Amino acid sequence: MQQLAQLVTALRAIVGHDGVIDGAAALLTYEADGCVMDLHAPNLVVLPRSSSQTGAVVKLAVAAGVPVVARGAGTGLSGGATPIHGGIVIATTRMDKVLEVDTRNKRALVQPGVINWELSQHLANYGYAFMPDPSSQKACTLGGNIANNSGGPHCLKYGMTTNHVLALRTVLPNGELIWTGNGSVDTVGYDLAGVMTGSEGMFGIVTEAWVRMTRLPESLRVVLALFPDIPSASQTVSTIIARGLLPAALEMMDKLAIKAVNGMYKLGLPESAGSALLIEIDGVEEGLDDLLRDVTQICRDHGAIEVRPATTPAEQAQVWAARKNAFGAMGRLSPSYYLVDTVVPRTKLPSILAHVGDVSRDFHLPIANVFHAGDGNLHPLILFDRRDRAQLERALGAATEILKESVRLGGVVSGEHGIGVEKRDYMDILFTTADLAAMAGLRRSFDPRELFNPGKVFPARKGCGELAELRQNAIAANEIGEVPAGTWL
Amino acid sequence: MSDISVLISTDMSQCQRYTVHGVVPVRVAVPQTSADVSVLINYAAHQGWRVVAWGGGTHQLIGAPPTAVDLVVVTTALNRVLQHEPNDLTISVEAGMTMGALRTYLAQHGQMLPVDPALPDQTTIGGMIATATDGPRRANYGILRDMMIGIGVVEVNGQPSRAGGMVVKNVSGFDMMKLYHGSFGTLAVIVSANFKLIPIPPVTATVIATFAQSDQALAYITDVMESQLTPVTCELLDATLLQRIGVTGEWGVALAYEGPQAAVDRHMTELPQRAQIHGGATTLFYNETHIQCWQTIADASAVEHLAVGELVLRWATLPAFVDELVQRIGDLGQSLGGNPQIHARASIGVGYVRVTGLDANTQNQWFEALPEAVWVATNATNLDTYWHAPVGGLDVMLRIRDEFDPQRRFNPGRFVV
Repeated sequence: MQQLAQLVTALRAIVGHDGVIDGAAALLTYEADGCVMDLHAPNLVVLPRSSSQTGAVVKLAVAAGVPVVARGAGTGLSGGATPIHGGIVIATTRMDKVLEVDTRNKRALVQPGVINWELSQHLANYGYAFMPDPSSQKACTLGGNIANNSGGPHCLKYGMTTNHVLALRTVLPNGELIWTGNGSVDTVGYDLAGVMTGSEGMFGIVTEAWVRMTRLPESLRVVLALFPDIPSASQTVSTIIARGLLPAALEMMDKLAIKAVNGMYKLGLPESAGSALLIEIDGVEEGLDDLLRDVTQICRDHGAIEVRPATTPAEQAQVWAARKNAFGAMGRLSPSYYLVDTVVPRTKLPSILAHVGDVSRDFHLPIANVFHAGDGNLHPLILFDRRDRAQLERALGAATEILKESVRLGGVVSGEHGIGVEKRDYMDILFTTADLAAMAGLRRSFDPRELFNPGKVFPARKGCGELAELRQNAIAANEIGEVPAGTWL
Repeated sequence: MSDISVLISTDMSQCQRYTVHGVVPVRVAVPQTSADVSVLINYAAHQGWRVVAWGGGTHQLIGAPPTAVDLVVVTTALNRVLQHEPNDLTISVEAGMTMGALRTYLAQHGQMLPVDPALPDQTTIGGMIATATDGPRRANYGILRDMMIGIGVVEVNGQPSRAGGMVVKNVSGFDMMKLYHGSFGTLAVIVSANFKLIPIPPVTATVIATFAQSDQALAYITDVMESQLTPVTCELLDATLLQRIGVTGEWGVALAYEGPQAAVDRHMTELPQRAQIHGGATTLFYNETHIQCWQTIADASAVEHLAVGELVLRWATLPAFVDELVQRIGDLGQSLGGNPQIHARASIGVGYVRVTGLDANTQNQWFEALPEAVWVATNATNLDTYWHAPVGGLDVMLRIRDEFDPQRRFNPGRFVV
């Protein structure tokens, strides 16, 4: 206790009195991110304003042997920002500035607390965008995007966050503050920015980043194609990909999702439709209509009931808003949902979606699908009522079934949400001990004492909390154990 | 799995053939499978052998000479396609497959891995990953770093491990692909890699614009990059390279576009118009001349065979600084000699300079005068240094090396860590 009081005093000397949160009630805000299955409040939350303050905070924390967990907006869905072993949460909230926009070199210097959407809005003034666009983009931060190597609909054409990071200023777990490069595309030595992106806060805390700006395309076309069922739409996706038409985004919604967004966004979609595809193509104006014709024809060949172009920017924005806010619209259908993130090879979409349908039936829970079809990246939303213990357990069992089937079909266990706590016990159905050991070796190179975001990514087979136990049992026996109360957002 | 003794040769002529930057290895092995690699590396670990992995041998002059080589592991028999799902646009290949063989294979399916290295018929996929090889189309598509979705390696004790997968989007575990990419054989032997592919575009064409001054050429490049045009390459060429592609001029800008006919037509119209504004004259290439032109430009960065006194530097800077760097290289040619040849992927700030006829002392001076150099290739075995210090993170890089190769048996002495 005395040690904690001393730490608070020392931290306040760095970040000011109001830069340290230590009140029990206030700390509850930080006990989880968007994955609230395993709650654990930190001992302290620190809000540094700069790289050097962050470095000084980390030095104090590691000297005291206290875990350090970085947190952006807390929108993560895998428990990456949950301090499951307590310690200090370093929240990037006060590092929220776009420090420089360098159009000549197509790069921007940002602090980690900048919100993804705000960056792109800012860059749009110059005719550029930061391309990764997670559905949570109106709230999530760049630091979180980098930690999770976040995706989004436009990653189909433009790549994930890792393809848009040029250099990182990072506080390493020993308190050392480094730049991984100077923003040019090559550096001498190992690709530290490359391995840090997607390392879920375990290799360092990003305090500044040079990110790539992409020129906004000259033109784009958006179409919404409606299909009688899921197989016809997923075959359409496979054909568009196989023909190499390279859309900017290729998103799918099933019947349940259509129903939810229809109610909320007044899209007037026929509720008889079994699925919808949102297709965007972009580039120079010339050739786009030819491409649109090809895409439309493929939709019709696969039995599309209706193909609606969204021609005006307002119509396009409406269709995109429906897609991006679809998760929120689910509140109209169910009190809570479990959003599962998984990926399969794109030709396996029809199989996995059929399986999701079977799981829905077997577990007696409705499952909506809103997802990045072009990437093979599924987001089944298992609808349930968390107040009903039996439903909660069935939801977890359903998620396990879907993840196992994804791996069986040649897929993986996370496409863009990360492993965190949520998926750590699925890692060894995907990877061998040796595969994981290599990753552990890399982690140890950065953090031999495992103080940065401990308990994440790697399977926790023993005594790592109720959630871990539940998950282990679920994987081993296809059954669901106990979980603390909570909801999935 | 083969018997170790069958795999390993100590034949002198064989060993000489695989001389690593002036060092003749004690023995050479040609594993037939990745399981062979595992057995060999495990055996080498027991013996304490220093090991160099060798693909096509096209990048062995990069970096410092090794301190010793007990075993060269030649990967060229690992040349199979392991898995190809044409409709998924993904492929898994063994590391010893050449880029040329992969290109030919994929073309049958109308697909490509859009990286165009020098000497594609010798350069292997594993070598390209290990050395972060680039090509002109990096300006649009990136390098293998940006396309690699999975990797298989044999670690220093012979342990095989993998990361990633066969899907195009994946955050299941750390991005080990980025760790091995550009690690110059110091962490593990790469035995296989998975990539996402793209279809071969229906039409391709090239504009070559020539200018009297390099600053005109660079102003043109800035103009194009700030426009809505999306060329897939953007190379600044000097007079020597221009001549090699059959065009006369002091400075050139080579721009290719790939896509549907209408979009190609737009580029082939607007790119020359914009060149004219900057005082440039243009030539258009289609079909065979387009292909030949780009292979010539790609080959300009080849470092397989270098003459005595020849030095090639790859540099990276911000696009805005290319102008100053090109001027500086010209000035260095005046003061240090070496008759510098230069070409640059100018829109992204990467390029190469080749100088010839230099003694070791002048090579040192060239290297020191270009802190932007990310690597140097030379026959010289007595340079003061072969690497500039990393911008940051050297300590953590050393710890990574300690973790993966504590005894420094993989490519000892050759890399910056």
